[in-house]
Order: sequence, then structure tokens, then C-alpha cells
Amino acid sequence: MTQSGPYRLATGGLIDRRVAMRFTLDERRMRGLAGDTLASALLAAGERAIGRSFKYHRPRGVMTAGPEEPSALVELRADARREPNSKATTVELYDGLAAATQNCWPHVRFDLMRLNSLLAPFIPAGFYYKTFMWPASFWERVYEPLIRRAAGLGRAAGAADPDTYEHANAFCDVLVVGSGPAGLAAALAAARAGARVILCEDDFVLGGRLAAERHEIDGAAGFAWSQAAIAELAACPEVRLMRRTMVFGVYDGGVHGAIERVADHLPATASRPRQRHWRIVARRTILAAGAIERGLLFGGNDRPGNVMAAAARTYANRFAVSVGRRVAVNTNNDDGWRTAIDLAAHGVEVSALIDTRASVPAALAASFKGRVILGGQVVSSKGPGSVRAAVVQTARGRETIVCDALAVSGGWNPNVALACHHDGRPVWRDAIAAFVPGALPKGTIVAGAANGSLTLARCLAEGDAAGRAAVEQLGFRTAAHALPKADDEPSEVTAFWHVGGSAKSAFVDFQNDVTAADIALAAREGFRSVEHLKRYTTLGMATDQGRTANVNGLAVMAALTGRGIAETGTTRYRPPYNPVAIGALAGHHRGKAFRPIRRTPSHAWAERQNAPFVEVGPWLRAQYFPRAGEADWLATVAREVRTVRGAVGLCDVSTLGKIELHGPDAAAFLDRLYVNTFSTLPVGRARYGLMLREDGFALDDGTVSRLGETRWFMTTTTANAGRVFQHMQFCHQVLWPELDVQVVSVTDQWAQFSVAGPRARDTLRAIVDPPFDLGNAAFPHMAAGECTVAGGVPARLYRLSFSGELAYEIAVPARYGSSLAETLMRAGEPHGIAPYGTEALAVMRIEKGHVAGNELDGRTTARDLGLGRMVSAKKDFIGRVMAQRPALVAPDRMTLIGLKPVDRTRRLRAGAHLVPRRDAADAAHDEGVVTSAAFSPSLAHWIGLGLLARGPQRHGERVWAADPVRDGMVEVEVCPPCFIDPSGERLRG
Amino acid sequence: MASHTLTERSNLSAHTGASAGATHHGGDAAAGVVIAERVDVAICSMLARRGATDRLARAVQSAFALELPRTPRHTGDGAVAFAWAGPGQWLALGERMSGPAFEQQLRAAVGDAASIVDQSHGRTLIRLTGPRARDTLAKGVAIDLHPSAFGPGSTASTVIAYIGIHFWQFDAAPTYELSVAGSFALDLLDWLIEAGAEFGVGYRAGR
Repeated sequence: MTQSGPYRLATGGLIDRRVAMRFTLDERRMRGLAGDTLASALLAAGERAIGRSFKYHRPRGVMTAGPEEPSALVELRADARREPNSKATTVELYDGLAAATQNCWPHVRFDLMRLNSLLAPFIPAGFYYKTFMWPASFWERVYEPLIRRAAGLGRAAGAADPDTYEHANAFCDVLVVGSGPAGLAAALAAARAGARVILCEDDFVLGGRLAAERHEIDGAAGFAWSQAAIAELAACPEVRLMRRTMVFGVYDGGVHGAIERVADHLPATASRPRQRHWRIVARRTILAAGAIERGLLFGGNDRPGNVMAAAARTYANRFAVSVGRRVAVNTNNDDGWRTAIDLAAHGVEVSALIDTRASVPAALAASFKGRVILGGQVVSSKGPGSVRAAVVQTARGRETIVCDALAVSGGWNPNVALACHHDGRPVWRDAIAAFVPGALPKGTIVAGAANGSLTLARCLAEGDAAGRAAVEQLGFRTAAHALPKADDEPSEVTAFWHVGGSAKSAFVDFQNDVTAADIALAAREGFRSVEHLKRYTTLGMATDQGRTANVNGLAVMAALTGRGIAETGTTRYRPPYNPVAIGALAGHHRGKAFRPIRRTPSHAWAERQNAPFVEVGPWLRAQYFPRAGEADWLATVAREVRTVRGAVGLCDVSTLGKIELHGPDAAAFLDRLYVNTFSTLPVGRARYGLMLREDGFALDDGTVSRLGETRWFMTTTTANAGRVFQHMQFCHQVLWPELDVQVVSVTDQWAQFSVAGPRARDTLRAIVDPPFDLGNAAFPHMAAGECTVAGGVPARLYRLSFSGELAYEIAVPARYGSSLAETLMRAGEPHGIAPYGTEALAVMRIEKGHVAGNELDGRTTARDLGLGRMVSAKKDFIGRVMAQRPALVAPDRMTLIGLKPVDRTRRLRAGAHLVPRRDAADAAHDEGVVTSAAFSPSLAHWIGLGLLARGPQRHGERVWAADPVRDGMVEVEVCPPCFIDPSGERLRG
Repeated sequence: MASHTLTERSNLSAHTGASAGATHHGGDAAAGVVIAERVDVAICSMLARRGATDRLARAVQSAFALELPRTPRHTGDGAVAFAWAGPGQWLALGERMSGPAFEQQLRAAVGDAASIVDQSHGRTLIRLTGPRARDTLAKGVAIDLHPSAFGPGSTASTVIAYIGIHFWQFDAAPTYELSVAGSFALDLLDWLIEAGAEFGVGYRAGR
């Protein structure tokens, strides 16, 4: 049953030898086992070179067994699901997985781009900045595309992601990050106290290093202890175990970001999201994220076959895969010895154990029976291709050791990233030659290897203590329980970094191809601060964030500058801990769900009339209602306008902000809000109103109707509805809490339609219930009242006109809205009714000179808008004082005017600037702007509204409307801003 | 002559529920979460007049034998309920009533202690129940829904997917009721069905 590769060990491992997983690499059919990662399956098959490096296209293989992997990057899946730069070491193998090598052409084993590597001496760090500087315009057009083609990693899919992603929220007393011995001990202590616990593990197997080591706990296999602990946790109702979940960021207030890979390990996502973006809010956080092994710097340390020593152990113990037939181990610490011991125990030949230390304690020396070279250093690896030998410098000289894999340990770096997301800087600890967490985010405890405690017994003890401390701080009681027993295995380390003496490059950052020589160059050129070093060489800027590289790089820089590593310091840590898919951050909010949409009550009805929709704020509004035979939208809009001016039209105006005001002080409130007076308005009447911002500029306009002595109804523009309501809440709650007024939004309660045109009254007569009198005397222009329609449905009727025609706005409770539209269409049929959209609405308001959003742009005053006479001098209101500022009352301010092209066949466009005819059309002579323009079907030519300096005094003057990027210069005549029925007879008819 | 009649249609009537059906075939009993619109509930905004909250509470007590909540709570007796909506503000809910009738009943009960505004057609009321209702809601609500933090009678105004909602837990099943502005209701329903898809969604349209 071990048909899964020549490097699969006969026994052991957390794999299921009965379940084969078929997969492909570059369309070659391969086979792994359930429980494999892509990396372990590839190693089992004997695959060495898996990818090509970023800059020099050097062949690279699997180096680690986790998310710190710098080298084994592949593309997964195909077509729209293609996913570049996936770390083979974290990809959970599934049946049918398709993987491809990347960044090589034509093949990973024979890559023409390898030429870059031969040029390496000529393209050191900073090469691009130095070489491609001139001419500047060449950077974007020539150099960057060239560089991008040669460098880079995998290819993005280039198509919309067919999978779905979602967000979710979780809350807990204690969040434990990491399920190794420390994390499990912490979770157990917290869970036993009854706390709500969330345990997040990035891997698909819970247990952390216990799944990869042969340690014993309580006299049994460590992994067995972890499984018992997990079973106990799983049985606690208040514990949530989250596998495949990476905590990527620590934010304020105990908020953590995490990505759960829900379906990445499944062939198809079915009805599940691909990934889930969790927002986890924790009262206490225990970081038990372990430690990451670093390598040693020697020539050819990037050659396939170089692996981290602990990774070699992981592959043997967890995946039953040997990284080679003859493995040499190179270490500067005790932990490297475990690799030699474990490999030997699995029957793998260990050609030599090379320790950089001249002497080790006798107990350690006795623990490994094979060949040991003390005080030896691997100077370089030898090829060709993957590792075939290691050149070792010993006290007696150089020796070549034959091996096909080189397991390297340069010591362990506590995984401090999450501990530093609140700008905490890690602190150097000489005893372990590594950085440990410094100042922690509030409510955070670090335990185990992440805290620099690198032995199993200390991990268990620290985890347990952290779990107890966290819940005790929250007021839980903890009971005594026995600590699981484990020995403190040897974990001494002597700092050792860089071996000189090889002509070959010693790589520090494998993914970004940064060598020890590059760091030396940066030091020589003065880029000695870690932040400069990072940006100059790109050290640690790849997708692995330099997990295996950074400390080595800092050590090299420290040695070169004569400073200590502690003094050299680290760069700043920021989320995300590992790359996060944009799709997971977006979640539900993509495509049409980018933001929520508000639909009017007649939306479905308008859809059936084939209306296109336009976004107005959050709303979708019907733009126009095309009919067969109409040439274009202009023809449709012209027909709709003529219908309103000649017969009757119907338009959904439910999007207007609708607000009710109740209470004895509502009138006083409105007087303070608007520039004009409302307290004098009789019941049953409506009035147009304008409100200013505190700074004196116009905020919004609308109408206010008095429905009862203390009952008012006002409308705002669609776009400003939210802002005006907020403004009113502020005024009520903060400025004038003494006023007895109740303000409530009823925008969604009422479906409101404009029925406009000379036959509007005839149309409404068919649906308004008697005895309500629609006659001009009983219900004149600007009347407002309550009635019933269609046999008893409560309705509100306002005689308001935006079009300049005889017009009403009729409102019914929203769920009657679509039915009201249909009914009005039937009732108006004998009168020639047609629906009209926002385009016709805009044309008619321009014809009438009513200001709208284009003019209410936040920079215009009441006087600018031609509404100066509305402003009351008899009362105070918001904006009154600031509107008096000299610049706001300057006589040469741009003021509302109408515009007509002198040549009536010419088109006007909003945005054109107005300049006097005698002057050049440039910014120096700019005197105004066309704010709105439309083709007026009534006048059969284009018309416009604009703002022009001293506008009202210039009626009759001809100026240029200059629009150099579109229509050039159009000569226009300035006129009063009203083109239709200036005396208003029609709307009173 | 008024010979026309108007038909009431829910804001959600445009939603076919097809996407829900696609994820779930086993009837409500097999669904992890059942989503239902409630159109037979009258909803009114009730805003206390200045300084009249105590008087209002007494009026509510005497008319409905219910204690008006002063904190984010929902209290009801199966016929009438009040959900706290902010200082001095409540949503009043009347089971199987029309908006205008409930508005009149409330006005008669509270007199000038509060302003009453019918919102029955303005708010869409969606009921969410089933063993995975809490998990579904937790995908959108950034509030701790654990029974120890948010149980039956708890209410909150918050957002789901950028849509403002006012919701409360109705019972320990758990059942939740979400009140949303009608114009946003269709998008909220889309979100709920997508969020519940993995648990199996049952959907019952209102009218």
C-alpha cells in the first residue's frame, strides 16, 4: 500500500495509507495519501526542484513544513480558480488537486530565465533603482514591464473568482492561538474553569509540534496526549476548536482577524464558502504560536535538498517521508541533534551530524550513535542540481560529505508577530540567541515557544499558567489539576550565523533572493537601519515575510556594523501575519452586493416596463421608460417630457427623504432649521424650504407640509436624506433639547408618486375616494391633505410641482406602491398617461429653473441659487450669522442664470466654463460654469443652468461656454433661469 | 368614480426564494435556519414627549399591562410588544392588526405622552428561527449573541452587511426578529439566505 512514492517510510506517520489522493504536478499524474500536504507528497515522490526563485530563477525545493516556507511555491487549480504563490507546505492534499510549478519557462528543470542567475553579479540589491533611473518616463513604459516579465512569481487568474467568501463574528473569554503543547495546556486550564474558549490552529491537524515530534507526555506519545486533550476540549460546550484557521492580526479592543479555510481542502466548494473571515473578540488572548526554525548561511544553502532540520523531522515523524536517502545534519544547537536521532530511528542513513560547536555535553554526545563532527561548518553544498554533497570545514581541513539532503538548524525564533501588532518591539534574548516578545497588546499573554521557552515541559507549564491567569483575571475560579509530565529536553544553542569561504552565494531571504553579499552591499552604501536594509534589499518583503530570513539578515548586518543584534533591532510587525485573499476580506460584498441597494416600491413594476436604472445615493431609480421604435434615450426622454407637458405623466418619487415632526415645538424647530418661516403655515398647506449648514452655505431643499396643528411632514432631496436627518437629530439632541418635538423618518413607510400634467387631476379623480374635493378652489397649488384612495386605502396628497405643470404627489403605505403605479396607469390611460424617469424629471426642472444637486453642491449660498428673497430677516436660523460673511455676500459671486446657445443647433454640456467673449478661454478669465444642461423638447433646443459672476445683471449678454475637451466653444446667451411658463399659470391651473 | 382597488405586496415579493430552495429540499424541519417574513404585524414608532417617559410607562402599564423597557429590551405578551429603540423611543408591535388601527389604539392609550407614527409598511419584519439561526446571524451581527450576553428579550440596533437593522431575540429556540427599512429588505434577505446556505435554509414569503 505504500505506492505513494519511493521516499515514503514503511511505517508511522499521521497519514492514512489506505486512502490515496491522486493529484497532478504540471499535468504529471502523482499520488499521495490522506493526511499529506502537497509538499510531503512531492517529497515522498522524490521531487526536489519545485519552483524557481523570484529574481535569479534558481531552482528551489521544499525547505520547511509550515507557513514559513520561502521556496516551495506553486500554482494551484486552474482557470478562474488558479491561485499563485501557494506554499506547498500548507496545501492540504485532496483527491484531484492540480498543481503547477511557477516562474519558470519552459520547465522547472530547464528554465531559460536562469540567465538572470548568470547575470547575478551585475544585478545586486538596489540594481533597479540605480540602473533604470533615466529617462524618468521610461520607468513606466519600458523598464517596469520588462522587469515584471522577468521577475515575479505565479500568475494571477485574471478572471473573476467563482467561489464565495463570507464574514463571521465570534466572542470568547479566552482566545488561544496555536494548538501545540502550550496552547492545549492553556485551553484546558481555561475550559476547565468554565470559560468560553476559542482555540485557533492554522494547520489541519491539531497538536502543533506534538504531531511532528516523538516526545512523551505522561509516559505516552505526546500526540496521544494532545488527542486526549482535544477530545476533552471538544466535549466542553463553551469551547470552539477552529482548525485551518489562521489568526492574522491583533487589533484594538481584543479584536482579532482570522481566516478559516473552509473549503480549500475540498475538490468543490458546494454550498460552502471557500474561506471565512472571522472577527474574533476576546477578553483575554493567549499567544501560543510556537517558534520557527532558521537556517545557517553558507554557499549554495538554497540548493534543492537543503531543508530545515525540524522540517526533516516533521516529514519523517508526521508524514512518514524521508527528505533523502543519506541525510547530513548541520546545527549550532541541541535541537538539531533530535533530527539526526529521529531520522536514524526511522532507519534513514545519517551521513554526518555536523555541529558548529567544538564541544557538547556528554549526555547529548551520547544520544546519537552515528558520525558526529564537532566544531565543523558546512561551507557549501555541491550539486549539480540538488544537493549531492556538503563541503565541511573542520579543524583538520575541508572534507566532502556525500549526502542527498542537508538538514540545517540555526536555532529557533519565537513566533512573535502577533505579539507585536500593537507596535510592541521584540526583545533580544542572548540565552536562546533570538527575539522574544516585548510589550504586549492589552489582555495578551504569551506562552511556550512563542515566549522563548523552547522545551516541552516548559511549554506545558507556561500554557497551563497562562490559561489559569487569563480566566482568573476574568473572575473565574480554577481548581487544582496535575500538570502533564514531560522532560526538559536539551535545548542549548550557540549563536552562529554566517560561514564565509565559499564563492557561492549564501542566501538569507530565499523567496526574494537576498544574499549575505547584498546585505554587505547595503551596509557599505549606508542602508544600515533595519528599515532601510529591508527596503533596499527587499529582505523579508516576500509572501513569507522573511520568517526564516529576517533574524539571519539582522545578524549579518549587526556583524558588519559592529553593533549587537539587540541594538540593530527589528522592523515593524503589521497584519496580516500571512497573506490573506482579497476575496475573504470583501466577503459578501462583491459585484452587485458591493453595497446594499435601496429599491423603490415600484422597482419590479418599472423593471417590467424595461426601464434602465440609475444609482442615486443608495437608491436605484428608473431612468426612463423606452418604447419600441424610439431611436435613443434622448428620443424617449423628449417623448416623456412632451407627455407630461401635454397630457399626464407618472414618476416614483418615493426616494425623497421623508420625515415626520410631531409635538408642540415642531413649528419652532422648523423655523430654526430653515431660512424661511413655517410657524405661519396654515394646516393643509405646504411650503418650499431651504436649509443652510452652520457655515452659511446651502445644505438642502425640500417641502414642508402641515398635516395638523402639531403634525408636520417634510421631504429632503434623495441624495441628502441621511445627512439632513442626522443634522436634525443633532439639532434636536444637542442644540435645542428644550424643544418638545419628535422627529422620525418615514421614508420607507410611504410610496410616493408624482402625477404631473394638465390631465393629472382627471387621472386622480378616478382613484381618490369621495368626498375629497380635488377642485382648484378646495385643493389649490401648495395644498396638502389626507384622504383615502381606491376604496379606503389611507393616502396623503400634496399639490406640489417640480415640472411646472399641474401636479400632485400622492402617497400610500409602501406595500400598496406597486399596485398604485399599476392603478394610476389604468386610471390615466384615457388621458394619455406615461411613466417618466429621472431624466425627464431633470429636463423639466431645468426648464423651470429649479435647483438640484448640481447647484446644491455645498459651495452655493441662498443668494447664489436665486433664493435670497426666501431668507427671513425676522428670526434666527442655522447658518444665518455665517452667511453674512463678506465673501458670502460679495456682489460678484457666481449666481444662478439660464443659458441658451446662440446657434440653436449647438449642444450645451454641464461642466463647460463661462468666459467673456472678449477674453481668452483660460482659467484666468473663468467667470462661471454650466451646472446643468438638457435638450428641451418644449423649446426644441438645448438649454442650461449655470452659475455666473454677477449673473442676474447680465441677462441678455453673450458669453462663451468653453469645453475644450469635448465640444470646444459654444456661444451662449445669458437669460433668466426659467424657460417655461415663468408666471406659473400652468401649475395653478 | 373610484372603481379601482389596490393590492398589498411585500417588499420581498420580488424575491422568488429560488436560491433558498436550491440549497434545501427537506422542508423546514430539516433546515438549519428558517426565514419567514411577517406581514400581519402592525409596527409603530413611539416617541416620548419631552419629559413624559414616566407618564408614558404608566399609560402603557395600564393599557397593556406591560412594563415599558428603559434598556435595550423587548417585552410583549403575544398581542402587543415594545422594543426599545433608543432613549425615549420604542417600536410598538401589534400582532394581527392593521397599521392605522394599531396607531389609533396606541394614541388612545398614551394620549399626549408620546407621538405615534405608523411604520407598518416602512419596516419589513423578518423572523429567523432554527438550530442554526444564531450561527447565521453571527455572520453579520458584530454583537455577542451567546445566551449569557444576548438572550430572549434582548434587543439591539446595529448593522448587517451595511444595512441598518433593529432586532431582538424572541425566544430561546432561538428565534430572532429583524426589523429593516423596507427598501433594503430584499438585499437583507439575499444576505440571510447566503449566510444560512451551509445550514440549509427554509424560506417563507409573506404576501
